[in-house]
Amino acid sequence: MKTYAAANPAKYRVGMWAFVLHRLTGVVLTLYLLAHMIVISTAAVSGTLSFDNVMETLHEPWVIALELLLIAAVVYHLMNGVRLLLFDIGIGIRRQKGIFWVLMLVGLAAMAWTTAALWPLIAR
Amino acid sequence: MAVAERIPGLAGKIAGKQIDTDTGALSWAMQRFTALLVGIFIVVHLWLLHFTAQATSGEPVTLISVRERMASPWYFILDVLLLASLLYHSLNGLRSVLIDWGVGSRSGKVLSGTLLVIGILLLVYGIWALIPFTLGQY
Repeated sequence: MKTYAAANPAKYRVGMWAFVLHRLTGVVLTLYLLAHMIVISTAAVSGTLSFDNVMETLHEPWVIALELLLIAAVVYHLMNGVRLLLFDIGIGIRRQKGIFWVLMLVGLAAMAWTTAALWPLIAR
Repeated sequence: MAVAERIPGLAGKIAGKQIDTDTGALSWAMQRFTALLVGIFIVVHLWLLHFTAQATSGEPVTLISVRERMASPWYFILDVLLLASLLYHSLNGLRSVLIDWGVGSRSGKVLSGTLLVIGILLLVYGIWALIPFTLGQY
């Protein structure tokens, strides 16, 4: 694949993007964690009525759709994380690209399943 | 000296030099360990809260229904374990990113200490936030 090599300098290939996305999803998920704790705790602190109202809003179709994005971030980070754990025990470093794409396929399958499971809540 | 051989960093301090002998191996290992824990706990957490038959049935989530679920202490334990391991993993990850960006190059201890304090505060806050869901009274 000479043209691929010519068009893509070695340092900017899949491995780099995998690393960048891993960090990006990590930071985003950290910020989400903070937001999640704040939303749930402030909803609950004022009692039943406010919590139930917040929950109703958070179960609107567009929020569930956003949650799919969140789960996609978790799935990516987890899949690439598994790849990194494999490397840490010395497995597959020479086949890193193949392993990346296999894990992404697994992640895609997980996302398909998740979307199907949540679809009734989105399509109502 | 035999004592200086057993205590990390002591030989450097005795010689009058500030040598940091911390390789970061513990933090490296803990990041992987918490990664495994979080990987499992997050999947369980998402499953129990969003993918059980009851959760996808469209029935509204109310404070009462959450309290009914939390009547079993295992949910509370799972949430606390998830929060603790996730906080470690997130903040240690943030620490790696910040170090790569040059933050804490002069005072790595200030960076680590700050993140540690933030982590402990967030853990306490998170456990406190769970309490309204564990009360028996409606």
